[in-house]
Amino acid sequence: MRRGLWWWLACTVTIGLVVLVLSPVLTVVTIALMAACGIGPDGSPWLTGRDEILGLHAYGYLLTHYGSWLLFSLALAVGSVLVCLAVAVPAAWGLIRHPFPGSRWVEQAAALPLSLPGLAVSVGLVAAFPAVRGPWLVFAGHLLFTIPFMLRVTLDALRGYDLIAWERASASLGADAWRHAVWVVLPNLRHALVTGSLLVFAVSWGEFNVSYLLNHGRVQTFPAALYDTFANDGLPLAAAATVLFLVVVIPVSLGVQILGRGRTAVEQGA
Amino acid sequence: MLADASLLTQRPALGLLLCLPLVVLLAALVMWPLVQLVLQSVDGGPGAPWWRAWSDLVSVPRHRRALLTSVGLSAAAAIVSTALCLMPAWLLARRLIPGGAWLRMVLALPMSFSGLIVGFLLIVLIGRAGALPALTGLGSGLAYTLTGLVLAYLYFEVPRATLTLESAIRTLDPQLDVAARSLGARPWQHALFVVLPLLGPALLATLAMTFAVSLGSFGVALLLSVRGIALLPLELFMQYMAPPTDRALAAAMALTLAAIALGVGVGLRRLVEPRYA
Amino acid sequence: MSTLTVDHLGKRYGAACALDDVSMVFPAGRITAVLGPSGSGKSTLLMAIAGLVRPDAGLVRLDGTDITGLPADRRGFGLVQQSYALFPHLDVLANAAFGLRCRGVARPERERRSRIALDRLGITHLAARGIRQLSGGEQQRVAIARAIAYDPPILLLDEPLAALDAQLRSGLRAELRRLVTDLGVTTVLVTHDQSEAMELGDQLAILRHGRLVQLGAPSAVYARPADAFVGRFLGAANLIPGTGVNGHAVDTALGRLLVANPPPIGACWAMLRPEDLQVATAADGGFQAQCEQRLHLGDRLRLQVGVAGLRLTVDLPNDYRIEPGESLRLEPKPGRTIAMPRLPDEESPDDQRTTAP
Repeated sequence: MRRGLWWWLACTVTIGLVVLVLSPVLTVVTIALMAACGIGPDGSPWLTGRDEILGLHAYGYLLTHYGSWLLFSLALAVGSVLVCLAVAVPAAWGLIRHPFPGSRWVEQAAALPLSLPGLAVSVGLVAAFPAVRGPWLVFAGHLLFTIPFMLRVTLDALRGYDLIAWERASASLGADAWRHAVWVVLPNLRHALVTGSLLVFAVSWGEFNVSYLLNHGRVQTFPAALYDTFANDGLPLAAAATVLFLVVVIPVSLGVQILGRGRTAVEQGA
Repeated sequence: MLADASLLTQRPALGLLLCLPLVVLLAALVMWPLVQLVLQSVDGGPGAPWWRAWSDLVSVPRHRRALLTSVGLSAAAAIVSTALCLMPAWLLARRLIPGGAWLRMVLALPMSFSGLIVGFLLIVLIGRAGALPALTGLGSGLAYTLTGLVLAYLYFEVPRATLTLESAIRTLDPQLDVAARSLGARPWQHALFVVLPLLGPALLATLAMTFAVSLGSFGVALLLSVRGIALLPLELFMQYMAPPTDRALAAAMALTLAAIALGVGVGLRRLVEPRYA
Repeated sequence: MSTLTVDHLGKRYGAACALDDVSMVFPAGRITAVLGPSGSGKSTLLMAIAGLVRPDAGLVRLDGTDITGLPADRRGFGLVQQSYALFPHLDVLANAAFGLRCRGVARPERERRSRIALDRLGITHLAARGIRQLSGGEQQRVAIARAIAYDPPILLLDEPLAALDAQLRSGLRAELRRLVTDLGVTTVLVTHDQSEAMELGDQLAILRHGRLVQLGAPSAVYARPADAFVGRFLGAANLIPGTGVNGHAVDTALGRLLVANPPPIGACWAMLRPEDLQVATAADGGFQAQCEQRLHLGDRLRLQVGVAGLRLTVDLPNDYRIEPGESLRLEPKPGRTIAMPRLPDEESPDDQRTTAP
């Protein structure tokens, strides 16, 4: 392609996409900062009828009103990470190292939830477990959407290694199965596990479709708090809530990206 | 001999055991609900035929419009995003642009944004009181139109499409490009005879993925369709929020959403796989 | 038949110089083997000729016409890459026909010509096969067939036999030579394998660090290497440090050796290949050496001998009897010793130095 016509076209489109992606984010952050300072875009104080929530008070307001929701989301995210590590990682190991008839089906079935619309899933869950309401059902929904990620990341990592050759080497050097797992396999999986955990955390943190329907009326997840502010409160408050959301999501997302870079480099070389 | 050594230590039973928690979870959270949904969707209510809910879905104008709009918009957004994201994906995969790592980070940003966030971000930018209208006087209220909706879909399809396409392009052997050029292929011939056939499956997979993602997106629909754009996820949500809940209809809607998303994905994959048997 | 010329080609990658003022002629209808160690710039030279790499300096000419600015897809050359780079989504026939397809040749005609190309390589029976089902040797033939299907004026081969096992390689070498001769196409063959270059090349070009070190017929380059590097690269060589005297001899630790070419004044090398040494005919002729190691190479006996702080390699007839530790007298065969320039910091190669007296 080099620096010909096509290259310029591709760059133009790419820049357009970058603008599309960045401008809303920058706008929101700017608004949130301005709200924090109490100044509107034309220099006048930005009023929405709730003077008392201008400035950094916005964040205080959010934390007092929706603090428990924030904690709930964090708990869900951490819980999802833990369960994913406990369930998906051994499963990935089993699928690769000890395949059984039907392991292909299991793998495809595990990827299934990612193709299903979240809302359909939550409707299904409500239909299937009408007695179970509230937080546990939400947690189940989160698991459904996070486990495939952890599984896929771990499978990709395991597939890149010659596991049999490692075991032979370990055996010849005198390590038993346990030592081999702890000293050889896990350290090499560390990267994938960290990336996977960050990914699971980010997905769970931002999950709204499933959670909203399932938990209506009770303590909700933080994205639901966002919706509350969008629908009911003024722009500055909503902007502040968005910033709170982004403050958690962006570093985690960047972390995944940065770590993922190293991984793909190794995979390319390996 | 080497094969024997590995076979000796492969224990399918252990594999099954390790997968058991996963399988149980899947069965309980995917299979069982699906079954329940099917059962509910054919329970039309006292005295009504089993196909009542399904016929309502297609016959009631509002529902039908929601279905068609959802499918149409998602398809449009999928095609646009796949076509557009080919460009950055190619630039990134072939390292034709400096600062590729930064570019990838920026484009991947919306990946974890909930649909809600995306909707809100667009409202902030091009809603009635958005930044763009405030600064330039253009595009007020654009967020609430069909265009705005497609833009929103585009917004969270960009990261997925770009990253998927990038890793697919990475698998293309650059030596093939050298061969094509040395054999006399002009750039368009190279693209048409070599790149497109080899990239075909990945393109279809990306189309399927982006389609499914926007079809099922709810947060965006919730925020952006105040002007009466009917969308299927919203209709489904209304069923639950505005009692009395028509369980059968809701189940039918949910199953339709799931079936379309799945069907497109599986169908597209089947279309290309035989060629590579 | 076309003549290819490169004039003062130069290419830098950052601080590294891949090609440094390379000028040479590739005679029409002949095979030129470009030989050199890794990093010598030979692949860069090939890519520059193909138009896939733009040189920083110099020209590439085809029959006198300057084609340096012509992009690769318009040069019409045939290129066979080391990895073959066959198109996985096309079968063998479609691969072979690709160049013709890009030139807009109609389907029946291009299939006909592709089959002719496949036939030249003896693989017509594979026409409908997918390339994933081919062996390494078969893939290589398809790659060559693809490159010649449109009768290119120049054929460029980048280490074409490197990926094959030794057995396959020797068979294919002969075939390749026959094919190129039949086609009469000017061929540039890049390789790091000196025996391959010697066998296939009508002309040898030795590259080192991006510079053309020597150009000539294989026998000439072998017998009269320009310097120590070329001497050792083309085969085993004993390099004996010495000083050039009165125009036809070199004073060394082994005595005064008569050389076949005028030696440089001052420090120089006297080069003797293992086959250039023989057992001394006279009882006190030549020099005394001690046998350190003895290798039976089947068709000859190779000895490592120590003399005057040097270790030399000598090839003797395979019926000669000697045990390690014994002494023998050796002398150079008349007219075989070559003198070469020696740079101030060049020392005897490690494997030629011995601490034994």
